[in-house]
Amino acid sequence: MKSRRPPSQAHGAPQAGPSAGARLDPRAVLLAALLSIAALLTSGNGGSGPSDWWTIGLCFIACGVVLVARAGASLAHTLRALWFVFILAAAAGWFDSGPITDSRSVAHHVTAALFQVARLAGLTAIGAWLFALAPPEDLAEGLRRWAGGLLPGVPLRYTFVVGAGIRFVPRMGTLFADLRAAQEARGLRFTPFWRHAGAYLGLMVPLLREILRLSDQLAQALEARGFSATPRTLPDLPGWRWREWLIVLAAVAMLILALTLGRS
Amino acid sequence: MDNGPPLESGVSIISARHFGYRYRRQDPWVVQAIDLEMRAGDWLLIVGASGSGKTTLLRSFNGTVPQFYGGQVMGELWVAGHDPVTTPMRDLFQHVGVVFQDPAQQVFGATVARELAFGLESRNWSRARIDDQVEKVANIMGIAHLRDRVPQTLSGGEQQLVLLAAFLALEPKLLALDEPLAMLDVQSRQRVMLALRTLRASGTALAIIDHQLDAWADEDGGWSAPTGMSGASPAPANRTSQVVQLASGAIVRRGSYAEVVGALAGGDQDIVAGVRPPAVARWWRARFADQGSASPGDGALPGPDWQRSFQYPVGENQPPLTMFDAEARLRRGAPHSTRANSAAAQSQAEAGGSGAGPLPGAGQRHVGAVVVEWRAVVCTYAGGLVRSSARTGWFAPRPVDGAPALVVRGVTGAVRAGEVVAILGPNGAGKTTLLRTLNGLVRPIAGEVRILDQPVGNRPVAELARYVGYAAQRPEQMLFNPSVAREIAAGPRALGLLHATTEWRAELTTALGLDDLLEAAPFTLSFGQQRRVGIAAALAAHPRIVALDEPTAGLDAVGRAGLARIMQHLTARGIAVILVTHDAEFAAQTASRWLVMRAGEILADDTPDTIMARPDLLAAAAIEPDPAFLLDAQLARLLGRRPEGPVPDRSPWSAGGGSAPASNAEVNG
Repeated sequence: MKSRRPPSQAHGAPQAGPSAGARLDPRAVLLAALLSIAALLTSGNGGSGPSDWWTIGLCFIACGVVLVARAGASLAHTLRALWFVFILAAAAGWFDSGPITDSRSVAHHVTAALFQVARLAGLTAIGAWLFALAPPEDLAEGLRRWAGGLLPGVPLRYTFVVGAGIRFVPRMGTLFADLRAAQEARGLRFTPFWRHAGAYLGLMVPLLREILRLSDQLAQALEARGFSATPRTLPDLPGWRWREWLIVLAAVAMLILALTLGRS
Repeated sequence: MDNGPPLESGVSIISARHFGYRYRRQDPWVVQAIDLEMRAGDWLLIVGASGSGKTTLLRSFNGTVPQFYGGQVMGELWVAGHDPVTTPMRDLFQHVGVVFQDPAQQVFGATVARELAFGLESRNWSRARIDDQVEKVANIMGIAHLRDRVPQTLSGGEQQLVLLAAFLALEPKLLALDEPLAMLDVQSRQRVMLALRTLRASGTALAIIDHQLDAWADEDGGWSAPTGMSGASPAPANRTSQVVQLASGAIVRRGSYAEVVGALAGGDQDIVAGVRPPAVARWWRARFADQGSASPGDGALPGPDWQRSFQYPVGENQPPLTMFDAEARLRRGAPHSTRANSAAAQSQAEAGGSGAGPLPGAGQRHVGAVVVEWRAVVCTYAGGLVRSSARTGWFAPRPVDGAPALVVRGVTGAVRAGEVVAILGPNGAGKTTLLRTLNGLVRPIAGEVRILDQPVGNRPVAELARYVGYAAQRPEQMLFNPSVAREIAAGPRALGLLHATTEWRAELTTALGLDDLLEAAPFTLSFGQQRRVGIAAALAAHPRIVALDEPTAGLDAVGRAGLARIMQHLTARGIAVILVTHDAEFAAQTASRWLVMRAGEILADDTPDTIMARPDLLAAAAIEPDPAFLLDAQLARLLGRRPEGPVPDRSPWSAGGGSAPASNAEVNG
């Protein structure tokens, strides 16, 4: 028997943020993630070739690695939330493979569907890995420093808001789940959608109200600690060390491998 | 420090002259004619009913009002030498910290360390200096072990400590806090109190809003400064403490704790202008003063013979405000009582018993068949893959600091119809998770939950809503209909019970005092009214089982009394009520049985009095015993016997001029 969702209380599953010693430069993490995504998108073509099997295998290995690592709970939750998208991806892979003519073509269709699912799972794993190793605020600050050459004078407050906004996306999800639980607990039903579309008013109205209230409180809390003060100490980034170079080089190697396999 | 040298007592921190504020020009003044003076190291407790302007006054200290909300200001307000109306918040934050009600909505950092550093970064300190200060305050507050944790995933108590540490790092001249102890367990409360004393010892003035007066009874003195605080200075002897009572935005009473709270406690009402006197004072009055004349005159207490055997010194006719005072007074009366003890005991026996014991409508409540059963229930924190694999532990959330992944571990228990059962325990004990198993919001990975002799199994939550009414921590959050009547009818309508529950809903709205508000829009109501609408909406399907999660959080005295009456109304109709709470006093007054949890397990399942008589259990589960129980026990010790029978005032049914307690016959009916 399974629970529907994690309890939303603040004292839910304890999580550790990246410790100072384990912190990586977010620019390196972001670059490695982008290279990995490029590798994933260029490897294989869903045509049952060896590169497809390599891609499928690597994606599932990546998912497994992330699942047992720090970002495991986050990835598991995301994978579960995206189940419908996975079905769509599998269907797209299946129907994109043409008509079924014989048993061999059935295997081809299965491989194509599996390939699309694996690629989506791989992308999700990369995303979970990215946000586990580089907090949104760090990412935003890294981007701000990169963009500094192009757009000098990008104020920290904007990048901070972007980072904090990313951080609050899961909180919105939790809030939504809380509201849904509260409404279901008094008898409102939400599935199937086409029969209970009206009930979604009971989710959207309170959700909107709570988001506005939360953003208002957050803004007040930020200002209470001098968010608008200038000048301010900029967040420190760890800088590029051998670990950062190693991660980026590994991602480059993966991209080269993917391109090579894709041509074979 | 950038914000000046250590504060000396005598430096003005708040100076208000006829200060007032309203959100719009056409609105009435929310705060009006406030005259207030505070100096470094002073302590101010602001009390009053919900809607009396306390929070708005607090928000004016750091400029949130009017800088965030606009509106109109009257008079003058100076905070640490700055006018918060015209001084930007980005400058004021160096001098004034304001901690709002819900800590979960004020933490935003990636880690606790970064949360603590944020304010210091706003002051443009060097990174090395920030790191030093963060380490220092983390050690002082005892949260160094949390520095790499994500603040949003901490318990409420830990979040409150992190917030306090974030402001402690800034070494403000004034720290204002809105209900800093709400929803905290005893251990967390003690840590927060210690942190506040640390702050005050370093010269910071404290302004605090709270409905629980008992917690602040000892805050009259100063404390020695902790080592390591650069801004700390020894607590001068002339630091003062004051309490102000607000009503309709104006100060209606001010003075020392003893003066203001003593005046509140000296009357003959349980709730005075929305404020409830300390539990000790209420107990005392119920035990002694309410037995007859409130003025002993010759020093002899009125009441039955055994109570009369206690003797006050003349002039001590005001009830005590602290446990210490109450116990001292009881001891002073003891020699006389000892002499009269045997006669008193005989008198009491003839009168059918009098003294501490089961509450009217609580301990003596007759109960029916079992309606809820937990059979070796096991639950985990998270969902999906994580939960399903929790048996193997492959993808279970990684424990941090030894925190358990299993949040409920083999709980077995039962609840009967007409019973009120309170689940108590420290934060993270698994109380809410256990409660949520009743209506399928959490499904156990092992064991079985049965309601009304049927397994919950995989039955949909919406179907279980027919039998289990569940009010989450903030039931007002889910309101969305244009009128109160439609809001309350939404659940029954969805369940196809609209007509079948017409009578019940009418009964419910009457019991909750909502009859005059049925056509009002829920969003236009006050907080207390919205809470009542939320509870009515949660219970509108006429459930046989009611589950309440922290129902007293944020409620003022009137709201608590109303809630107690609702619970009595439910149990009188044979409905089982299960509540999760940190409020031991409320639980002792309303529940006939306590389930004490810690680390996902049931430590005890017994009557409140039996549990409160076990200090080891209370310590293990971080429960603060009801003061009334402690004083009853002390009284019994002094009389050399264990009193029995009903206690006049421990039941909240009669609080706030509410309806009289239901008789057992009514309860059973």
